[in-house]
Amino acid sequence: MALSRKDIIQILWLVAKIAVIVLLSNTGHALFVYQNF
Amino acid sequence: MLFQSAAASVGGLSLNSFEFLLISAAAIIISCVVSHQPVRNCALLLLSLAFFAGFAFDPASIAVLGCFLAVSYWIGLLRKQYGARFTMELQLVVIAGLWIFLFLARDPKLLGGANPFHYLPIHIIGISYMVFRSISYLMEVEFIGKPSFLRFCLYVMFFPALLAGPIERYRTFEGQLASPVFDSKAVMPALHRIANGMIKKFVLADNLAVFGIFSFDNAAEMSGPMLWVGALSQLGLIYLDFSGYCDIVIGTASLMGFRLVENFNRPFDSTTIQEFWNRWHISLSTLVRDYIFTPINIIVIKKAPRRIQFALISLVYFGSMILIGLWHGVTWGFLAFGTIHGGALVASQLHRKYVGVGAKGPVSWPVIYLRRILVYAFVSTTLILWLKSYSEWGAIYGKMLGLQLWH
Repeated sequence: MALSRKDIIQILWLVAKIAVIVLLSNTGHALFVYQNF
Repeated sequence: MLFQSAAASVGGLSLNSFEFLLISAAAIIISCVVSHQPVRNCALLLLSLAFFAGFAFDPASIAVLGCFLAVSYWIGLLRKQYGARFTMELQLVVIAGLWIFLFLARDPKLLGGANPFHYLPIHIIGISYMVFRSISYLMEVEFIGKPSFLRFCLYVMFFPALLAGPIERYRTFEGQLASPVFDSKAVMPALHRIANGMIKKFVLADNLAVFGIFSFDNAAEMSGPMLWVGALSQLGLIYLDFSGYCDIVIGTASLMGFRLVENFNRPFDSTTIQEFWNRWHISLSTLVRDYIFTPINIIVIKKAPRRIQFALISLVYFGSMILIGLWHGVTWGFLAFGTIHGGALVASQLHRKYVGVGAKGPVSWPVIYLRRILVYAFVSTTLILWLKSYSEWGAIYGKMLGLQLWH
């Protein structure tokens, strides 16, 4: 199955997002959601 | 602490942890590969239990959770057996019982020695959502085929939505358990949704939340304008956090072949407080509407004299918001938040009844934007009631209004 140009852009865009997450995530200060709800 | 991370306090698994990634990957593979439904359900339940065990693994909590699941399922069997004889009033009694269990189990200090959990403190992560899923099961069990304890447990403990929803309806979930929908075209959107959610939650919300201005850590030393900035940021922060979490959950479930209900529908477009609650945490507000508000209203309409019906329905509106507030926790903050928003909803109803909607023709766009800003500001500033203890409310709000009330 050949990837279209749109597919490649989608994959690159996803990789960029993952890079942002890996570089800038803050794992130590989850304030809101993880309450004892 | 109200806004302390439970993940941090009980050593739980974060949605960006390696363990969650591993459990999700296993669940996706099992959902795709295993076609025999009972085996697939069993495997997914085991993975959900593994995720749950990452938060608490003490025998007391596990025993109470087991009893809660068994009793809820048993009540469901009774409901299925007795059908129409399980009246609306009885439904409300069962719901009230489950709420009382929730309040007592979640807060061992509540009622002191009269609370059985005072002597046996437990920690069941996501218990509020489990109780609501049980309520959904009990309301819908009459309309399903043969009940199954395995499917019920998987529904209540489905790991992607275990911590904070969304709260799927039982029949919808059961239908998807029978035949998960796999679509190769949905993979890339699901991955993007997970990535968007992680950026919202772990990059934006969590990083912004460390600043004192947003968490009111040093409210006594903050100036009035800075308090306003902090107060007006709260709703945006919670939106980033909660909708980010929901994006991760919905995207992960989508890769497993499940289509979970959406929890947000552009809440900042709301021009009234009623509209806001129809667009925010939708799965919770619709459940309260369908299982508590509507049944009580039906009883009111059937049994109460017509002249007091509007007053009673407004009272039910008011009470529903207080219940939603207390559902988050039995504290003065949640009670005050529910009371204020219940009052705002009643005021909205009165306005609708006596002034009417759209009586003066279409509303111009500046008015629409002004209303949006006012609704946002109202909700955001009232979130201080959640963040800070009641002894600090007067001082914070006073300082925001230019009054010096710090002791």
